[in-house]
Amino acid sequence: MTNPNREDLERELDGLVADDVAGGSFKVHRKVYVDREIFELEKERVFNRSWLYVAHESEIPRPGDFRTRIAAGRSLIVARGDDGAIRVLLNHCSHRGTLLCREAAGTAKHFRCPYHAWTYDTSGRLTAVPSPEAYGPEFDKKSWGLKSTPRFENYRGFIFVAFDPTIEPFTESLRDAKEYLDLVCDMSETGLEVLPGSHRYSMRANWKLLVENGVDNYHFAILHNRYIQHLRDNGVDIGPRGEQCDVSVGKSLGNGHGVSEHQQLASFGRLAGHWGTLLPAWTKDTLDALRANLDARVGKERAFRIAQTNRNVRFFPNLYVLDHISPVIRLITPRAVDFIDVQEWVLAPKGESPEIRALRMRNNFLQVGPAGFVSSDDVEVLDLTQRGLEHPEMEWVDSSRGMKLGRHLSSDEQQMRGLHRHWHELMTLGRVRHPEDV
Amino acid sequence: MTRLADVTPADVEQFLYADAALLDAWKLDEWLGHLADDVSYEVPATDLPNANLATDLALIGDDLSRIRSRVRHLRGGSVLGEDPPSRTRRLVTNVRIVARRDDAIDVAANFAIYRFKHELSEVFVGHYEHELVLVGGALKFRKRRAVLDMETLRPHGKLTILL
Repeated sequence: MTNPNREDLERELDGLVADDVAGGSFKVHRKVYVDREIFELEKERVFNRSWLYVAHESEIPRPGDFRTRIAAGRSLIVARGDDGAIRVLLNHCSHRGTLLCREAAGTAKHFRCPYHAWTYDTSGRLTAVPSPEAYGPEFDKKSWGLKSTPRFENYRGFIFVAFDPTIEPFTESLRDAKEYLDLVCDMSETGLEVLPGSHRYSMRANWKLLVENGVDNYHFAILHNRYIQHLRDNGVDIGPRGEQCDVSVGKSLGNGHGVSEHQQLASFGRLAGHWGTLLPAWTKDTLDALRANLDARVGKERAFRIAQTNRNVRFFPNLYVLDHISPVIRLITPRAVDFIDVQEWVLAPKGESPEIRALRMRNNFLQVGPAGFVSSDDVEVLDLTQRGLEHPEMEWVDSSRGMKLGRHLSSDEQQMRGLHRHWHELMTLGRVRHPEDV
Repeated sequence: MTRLADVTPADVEQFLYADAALLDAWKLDEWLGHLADDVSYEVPATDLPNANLATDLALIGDDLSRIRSRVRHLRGGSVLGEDPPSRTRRLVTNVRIVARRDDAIDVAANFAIYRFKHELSEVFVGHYEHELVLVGGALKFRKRRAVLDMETLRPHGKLTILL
């Protein structure tokens, strides 16, 4: 925004989302994606006030295991202490602020500052300071430990943090997205684990473009037709698509969460328990047995959803679970108004057979990630979109699809509107209120 | 060449240089002729260079049918990031024969692949771990594994060219 006056900025913010329920029109102003001042304000009003995904507990199974992650502009150490408890510690030395842990992952006995050798154990307690007597007899190491994030939640293995101590409890904040996270977790009787290796890449795009893209099923058959074509060429029966599917739902889940759930590209096989022509014949017995187990464990209706529908679930603001042939975790980290870092991991049931595991990986390489037949085209199209939005003449971005019809198919856009409505309420400090399920 | 034992280091170098020239010239159909029927094309994840593709996530794990699709997509304009095609220049160096086996030669080499698009430039740096075989008197890849040195695909964002 060019206006230096804060009141003008606040007033301008109020008008950035044009939500015309009666007229069936929903538009977001381009500044939401390109304005640097708004991006700076998002740090305070969105990322400091939302639950943020940081890691999955299976990444740090043993005492001393740690991962470093970035969230809300802070470097964090997600560590399992010697007591077995998981903590999320701010990655800076209490002494002079030096970044403490310089590795992305590992197993540590302690974290030692490279500057003055202040040393902390894996629970964050200060354990050693060279010549502590220089600080006088009152020096108490207990008050110099590493800071933890104000809030922490381990929800069925998914670890979230928040920097606002007064934020609503995590489970409540999930609203209707809780059911979808449970659906993913219920896939496995033995629990899920993150598999080794991750996709790490970037995009020249505002973070909200990727946060929209994952639940935008309108574009799938168009931009990603080459993936479908490759499968066809290899004898895969694609099955019903788009609006022909029995299940096709696109909806806002509250608090900016959203989902696109459908059977498109589900009938050809899901490793959660549905055999189809994508998968080799020898897997049929295994998947039928998995399905029978699911039916018995969670009931037929829920088992159908777990085994036979695909879903992309957005947990506002920084997490996606892309649950297709196999579930994938996608973590989105804004770095500048037009630049994001992305990291993705594959999730799988613990203890599955090596043969199914290999098949899971083989199908993941094909689909997701920066070299996959799907995601690589998203990276490019969002780069192109960001560049188009630099044009002042491209003033309003439309997300009205389905609104006039009161329709909520996965190719409609209520799930996009839900993102921007929640974002707008946060950014205007609640001055503007939007309806939820329109 | 009729026997692997007769393949010289110079033969291997010339093969890799010709391979790079075909890719830089976007002569992709001709390039497919460098692949054995049972070829495996692998690019490990940047955080797991020693990835085993049966258990670990990678960027690419292609068999011949997938590589053929990639080439068809690249030539047909359906890879958005390569339509129109980017310019590339491959520097392949430090070529070494690492092992000679009965049915294959293990070759290591370094690469730097420059890519230019949208008036931006980026470079993919890493090393190759190839397995070469003789098919009908010609060298072909049975394994083509490109291990990247970058910690993340940043700012590349995507890997749409062939490594």
